[in-house]
Order: sequence, then structure tokens, then C-alpha cells
Amino acid sequence: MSTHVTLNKLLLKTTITTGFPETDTSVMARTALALEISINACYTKMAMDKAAQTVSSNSLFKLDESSVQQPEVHRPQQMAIQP
Amino acid sequence: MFERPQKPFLTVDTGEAYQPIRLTYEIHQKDKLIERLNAMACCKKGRNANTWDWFWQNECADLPFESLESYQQSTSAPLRLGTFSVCDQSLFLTLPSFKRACLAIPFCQRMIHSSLASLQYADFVNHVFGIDSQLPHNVTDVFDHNALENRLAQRLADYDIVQTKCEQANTAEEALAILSAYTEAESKKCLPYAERHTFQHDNNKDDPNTAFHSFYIYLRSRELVAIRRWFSDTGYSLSDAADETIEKVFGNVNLGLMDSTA
Repeated sequence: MSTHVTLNKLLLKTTITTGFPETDTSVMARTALALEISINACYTKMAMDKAAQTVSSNSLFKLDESSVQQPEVHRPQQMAIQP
Repeated sequence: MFERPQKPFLTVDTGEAYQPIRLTYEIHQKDKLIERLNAMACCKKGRNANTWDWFWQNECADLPFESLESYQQSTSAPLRLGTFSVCDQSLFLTLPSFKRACLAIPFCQRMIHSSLASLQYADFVNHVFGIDSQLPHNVTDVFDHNALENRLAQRLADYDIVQTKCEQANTAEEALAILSAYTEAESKKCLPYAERHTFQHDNNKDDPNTAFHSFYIYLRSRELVAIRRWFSDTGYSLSDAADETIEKVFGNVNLGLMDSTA
């Protein structure tokens, strides 16, 4: 594998990990597409298994109006997702 | 990945996993911004002051949800995609999925001129939820400003140090080794429950499209990690997601990427 490709792979991994655009835009566009395909494959499989329960977003995510008036007043526990 | 029966996780009407996310804009011209929100046919004034529900209709009716096959848009009962709220000098757009946030940003870029408000950061949850999970209805509980800001500041500082070291390295190989070690270490860290992504870092500010692309990649790779972990793949890490994606980008001809050295 050429040094150039190795470098491009490293830069893309840095972008995925940090969110900073180390990679050029054409590679980022292809990466976005690759991620979309991977995620949709998960959703498709889940739909086939009927494993998902769909909930209406009209009722699910209500804005907490108190947060509009007094933003960021609570300090929750930040849980790390453990393997 | 899918070898045993799976527990269901919550999805929203448009097909994606329920993962709360909030975009924060800095307001530059409050009166004109409110005028603009009132003028957008896809937005309807909420029940409370300074809130607008954003519906999947009119100006945004053509937003695509590839994860969705069966849902039909209804003109009589339009689907609410998210909620705008204005508080002091901030405009919040609260959404229930990462996909919606990724569609909302370019849409808002078209509809709300940057002289009225500019995107500052996104707060989001690195987790999917089960049917019987306790849901984070209260965004304030989840998106603690100080905690998220501290974590972000640390991440930016670490990155800036690495960037400086790379620039001061004696050889290209040395710079690569520094960046590689940093990236590997970061990609293996446990993702926090809630996280903040800034659009205001120096590397992001110049070109909105580049900033959006890097955000998209950052966000959706975390969505992939959350889903794979839910599917009992508990050892799946951001490093795995990155390696898998890189393999597809550099190895799959269907994505159209040629070896640039060929």
C-alpha cells in the first residue's frame, strides 16, 4: 500500500474520531455515503426482524419549556457507555 | 453482528433511532429572526412563547429519509420534525434523531441567513433507547452546559497540542506517528453519554460545507456505534466503526473512490 493511501486513511480516521476536517471534501462525501449505507443496513435488518418499536415523534420528544427559561440549571450524571 | 434475536430499540416516525440532539445558534438579529421563523410555512408557532414547531411540509417537504419506506406524508397531520426555541441570544433546534439534525443544518443554512443567526454547536446523546428505557424528555437534564463545555474544551486543547507537535516535527514520518498515536488513543476511548460538537473551531469556521461534512461523519459514526452496541456487539468501538468505514471508502468501487496514486 502506498504511503499516500496510508496517509489518507489516517487522516480520515482522525476526522471520524475528532470531527475536525483533516480529510479533503471528496473523501468526506464518500465517507458520509458509506456511513449512511452501514446505518441503513442496520435499520433494514431491524425492520425485517420487526425488532423496532416506532414511536411518534409528535409525542415523544416534547420540549421542556423550563429549559428555555432557565437553561442548563441541572447537573446530571454523565454516564460513560461501557463495553 | 445479528446472529441472535434482537431487543427492539425506539425509532421515530421517519425510521431512525431515537437519539436526542440539540443545535444551538447564536442570534445576531433577534427581531428579524423571529420574523423569519413566523414567515416559514413549515414552522407553526408553539403553545409557548418563543417556540415554533418545525413540520415536514412546505419548504422542507422534499427532505429525504432513506431509512424510511412506508411512511406517507400527510398534509392534514404533518409530522413534527423538531422544535425551534428562542432564549435570550440563542436559538435552539431540538430534534429526536441524528439524521434529522443532518438534514436540518443545510436546510436552516438556506432558510435562515447567517446575518440573523449562526450555528455554534450541537449537543447529542451517544445512546439508543429501549421500549422500557427511561427517556430523556428533559433536554436540560441531559445537555449540561458546563459538563459538555468542559469536555469539549479538553478535547480541543488536546487536539491543538497534537497539531502543534505535528507542525514542529522534524520529519513527516515523525508527524505522522504523532497523529497516528493520538487518533488511535482517541478512537478507543469510551464515548460519553452526552457530547458536544463545535462548529466554531478554527479548522471548521472557514467553509460551512466542510464543517458540515466533518460534523456529519463525526455524528453518524457515533450513531453506528450506538446501534451496533445495542445489537449485542458490546465491544464495538469508534475505532471499529472508523476501520470499517475506511475499508468501504478506500476499498469499495461502488463508492467511486480510486486510489489517488494509481
